[in-house]
Amino acid sequence: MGQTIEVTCPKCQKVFVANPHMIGSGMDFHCPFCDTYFPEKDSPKIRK
Amino acid sequence: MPKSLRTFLEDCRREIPNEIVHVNKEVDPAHYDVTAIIKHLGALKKFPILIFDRPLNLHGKPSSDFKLVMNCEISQRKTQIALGVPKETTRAQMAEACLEREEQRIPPTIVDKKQAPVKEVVKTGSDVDLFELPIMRHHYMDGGPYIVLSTITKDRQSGTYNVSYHRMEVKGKNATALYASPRHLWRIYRDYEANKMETPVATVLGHHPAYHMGACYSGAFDVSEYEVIGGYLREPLRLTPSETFGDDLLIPADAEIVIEGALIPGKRVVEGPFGEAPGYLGPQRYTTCVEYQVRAINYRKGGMYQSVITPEGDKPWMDLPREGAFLRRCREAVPGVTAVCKFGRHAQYNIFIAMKKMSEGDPGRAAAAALSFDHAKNVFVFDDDIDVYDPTDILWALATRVQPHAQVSILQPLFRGNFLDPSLMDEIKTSGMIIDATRPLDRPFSPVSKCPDEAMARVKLEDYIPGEVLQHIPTDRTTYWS
Repeated sequence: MGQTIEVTCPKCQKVFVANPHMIGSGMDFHCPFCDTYFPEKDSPKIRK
Repeated sequence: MPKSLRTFLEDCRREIPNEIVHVNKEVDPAHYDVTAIIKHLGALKKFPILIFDRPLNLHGKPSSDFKLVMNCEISQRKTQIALGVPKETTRAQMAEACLEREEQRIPPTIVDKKQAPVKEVVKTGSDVDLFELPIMRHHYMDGGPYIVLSTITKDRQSGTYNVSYHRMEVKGKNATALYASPRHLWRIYRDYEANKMETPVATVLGHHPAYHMGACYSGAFDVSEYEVIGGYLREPLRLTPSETFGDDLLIPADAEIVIEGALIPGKRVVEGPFGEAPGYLGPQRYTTCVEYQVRAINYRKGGMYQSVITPEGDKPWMDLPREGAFLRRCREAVPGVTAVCKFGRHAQYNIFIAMKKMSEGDPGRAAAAALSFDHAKNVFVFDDDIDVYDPTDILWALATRVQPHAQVSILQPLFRGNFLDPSLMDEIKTSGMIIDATRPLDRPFSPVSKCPDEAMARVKLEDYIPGEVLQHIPTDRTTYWS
């Protein structure tokens, strides 16, 4: 597994980068574009 | 007068007046105005100190109490002024100067709060509001506004002060998320955390560049970095009690702005992405990101808030202390090492060593010493006739002194790498490479072609090409590192 995954925000649909250890951690992602916090399951796409 | 950012700016006004530019027009640092100005200037290869007199704060309002100062860290000349060395001092000599200062440490002195300029304004409790500061968003996709200068902690058991750089994302009026890479601050925090205690902490948001250079020190854990900073300043660093912890956490008295508070045990916070030093976005993460509760803000009237944009420009204030540390380690392994270069955007994770080779195997020993430290990944070793600060020299030697099958060694992924290296295929481990670009000692090797020394001394250029003609011939800039 590499260093980076791409996460799509469920609200603004923009894509940002996160560390793979976020997956399964229970921590919410934070969209840097629209300031939305959301759980992993809400993301329409996570590219690993 | 004790050294401060203000005394440094006065020195620069005297020595390099054309390299200080005041921007009087209003700028919004949180919406990339400052980043764009610095990027535009960088494209022109211009890196003046920029003093933004009318920055907006994070409320989007004029930041009447503060100015924003950028680019103090860029260029060799500014760092020469900061260190008080002549402008003829070479980069390698400057690294040597850093080593000397780290060895000639000076203990700090403590002054009463009334004598501390940083206490001219103090805000505590509900008056604490980071949003009043002109904090920047540095790059596209940054998770929020970021503070990027050095943070002070104190080992719980020994009382030794540590000062180190950690990015922190502003999360609220009195909260940030501090990314603690696994170095000294992380060790200190984990010890407090194991004892269910808060870690006292402070962050300096403006000081003399020699302070910031001392904060880059990367030596033993038990060395007080306040003493190292004194060595860099060549005078005792003046300290004063913090508002939150009193004498138990002393803060720099001559800083422009100091925020202080505590790292909370057991609390992890999501932070990032953030455009980092290697030139890529460091991804969002949480495992070593801790909550920093800000409980006081101290500042001088007209406080000058400093920040740094990476990887724009050459940043000697950040790279020279590390180059000195590499030089010390490589020289311990091979006394003939003459210079070590790690600086600049294109040298991130690359280490360039120059040496007077006395024995076959010397390059390997020096490279191994370099690989034992910091985030070294690719190590290139050259003879001492190669200027390891000049990429043209480096590429010439790689082309002409290396047979790849014999002189390139690929090392297994045994080494702790850097989270910020986007090429990593593992969470943290990295492989390595050593290229020995030195000439062999055990067989003849073609000499470098050159003009005889006698002719160079005898022939004076001005006797053949008049000065007024010479000055109009454009300089060919074939090198891209300055």
